[in-house]
Amino acid sequence: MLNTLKLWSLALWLMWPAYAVGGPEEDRIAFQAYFQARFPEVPLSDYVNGIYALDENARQQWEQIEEFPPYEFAVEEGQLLFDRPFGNGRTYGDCFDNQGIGVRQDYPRFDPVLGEVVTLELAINQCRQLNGEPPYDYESNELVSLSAYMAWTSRGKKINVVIPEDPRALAAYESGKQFYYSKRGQLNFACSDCHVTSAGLYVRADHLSASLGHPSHFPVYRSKLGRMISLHSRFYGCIRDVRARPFEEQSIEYRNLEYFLTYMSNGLIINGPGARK
Amino acid sequence: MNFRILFPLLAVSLLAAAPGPLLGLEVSRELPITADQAESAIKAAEAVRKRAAAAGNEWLQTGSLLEEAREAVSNEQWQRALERAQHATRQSELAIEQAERESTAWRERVVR
Amino acid sequence: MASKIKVKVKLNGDVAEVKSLMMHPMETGSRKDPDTGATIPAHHITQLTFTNNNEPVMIVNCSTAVSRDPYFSFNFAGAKAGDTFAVSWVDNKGESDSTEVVLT
Repeated sequence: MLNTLKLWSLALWLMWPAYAVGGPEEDRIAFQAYFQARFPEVPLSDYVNGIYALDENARQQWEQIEEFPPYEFAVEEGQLLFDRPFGNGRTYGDCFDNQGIGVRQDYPRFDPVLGEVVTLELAINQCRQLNGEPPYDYESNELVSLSAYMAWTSRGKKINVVIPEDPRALAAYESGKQFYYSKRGQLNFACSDCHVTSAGLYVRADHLSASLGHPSHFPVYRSKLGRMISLHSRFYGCIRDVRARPFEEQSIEYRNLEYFLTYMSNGLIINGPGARK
Repeated sequence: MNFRILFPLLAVSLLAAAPGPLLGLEVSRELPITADQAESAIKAAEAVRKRAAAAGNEWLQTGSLLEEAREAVSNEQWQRALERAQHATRQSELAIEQAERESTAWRERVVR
Repeated sequence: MASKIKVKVKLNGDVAEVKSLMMHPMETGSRKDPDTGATIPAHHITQLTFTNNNEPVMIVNCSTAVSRDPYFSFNFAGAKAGDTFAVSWVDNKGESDSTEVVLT
């Protein structure tokens, strides 16, 4: 009798991981495995190219554009802005690790002092305010160019978002995850409806990309708009498009969403800034 | 066929059925919308909109519908104002329902 | 001020493959400012000239149909290493920009 009990306990203990509520790592592994099963001919590393990993025709057009990328002006302008000292003589480099060169892949990160997720764009403005400069509007050319330059210096580095042992950080991740999977707006869509369930399918004339790899290539030059846009700008547009009232750039909702999304792409490389239609 | 009885009988029955149009009177069966009704509809719509926003789920058009309602009030178009306000209210109600449903339904979509 | 024209030329025998990207708002003059409602005045390139050793190989008369930050690509024959290839434009406000590269 006792032996049977011991055996059953052992069996249950061994099976426990299957029943445990998964954490972020389990989510990420499942997320990446889902797309690899769904699109077996697409290598994991290619997801950083968004829809061009799934659409051959669009990829050829994009490769032609990439021969002479439209975001080069923004990167150059970003470098000029980045190198120019503040009124007090200090520079952006003083606010970041490694003088701010090659740090994009570590963002967003959880700031234990602020108790919130800090994105790269937010960190840029925090740096400005710390040094007595007025913050940039998040949709301004200056901020997006700075972000483009910093992304450029991180090209080829693996995305490495960390969720520290802090219940607030985990809560922020979970909040972003809930946002991602919740239907919203008059059209009743969740982010996952298009970018997980319908990835590779069409919504009207748009070929839907997978969420995996999305944050790797922002900010992005959009041919349609003739200018660079940030990731939060894209969130704003998507949420407006499902006819929900969008939140503002760098709102806590979008920062948590970016935290979740970027974590899902951990291990993939930064290849920003990007060019899209 | 006694027409002397038939025709008057027909005329009377027609009059009884639709006295208004035949006598040149058109009485509306609905009362016109008043300024008070329009304004309280807008107040109600705004209150529900706030609740939808608090649920983090306000829809895109609700705000502009309310703006149209207020503009209609300033033009004394009470009917139009009421309709816009009611439309805004309905959107907010649906948005709140959606948020409540999604507070648990989202888990079903998580990739495992 | 540094040129805002980028140009890449690839030689295949004596045929040069030119790709160039230039910064310019290319305002048509028909757009209205979304905040003020005022019409944004026209500001676009009117003539774009590509020369090889000072000989014009392509002259483009631009107008409002070309969008912001134009990209032009074309091939021309009769090029060789050492040639000086230049790109210049002039716009409706009289502003101009130019750059040149030595073909390799």
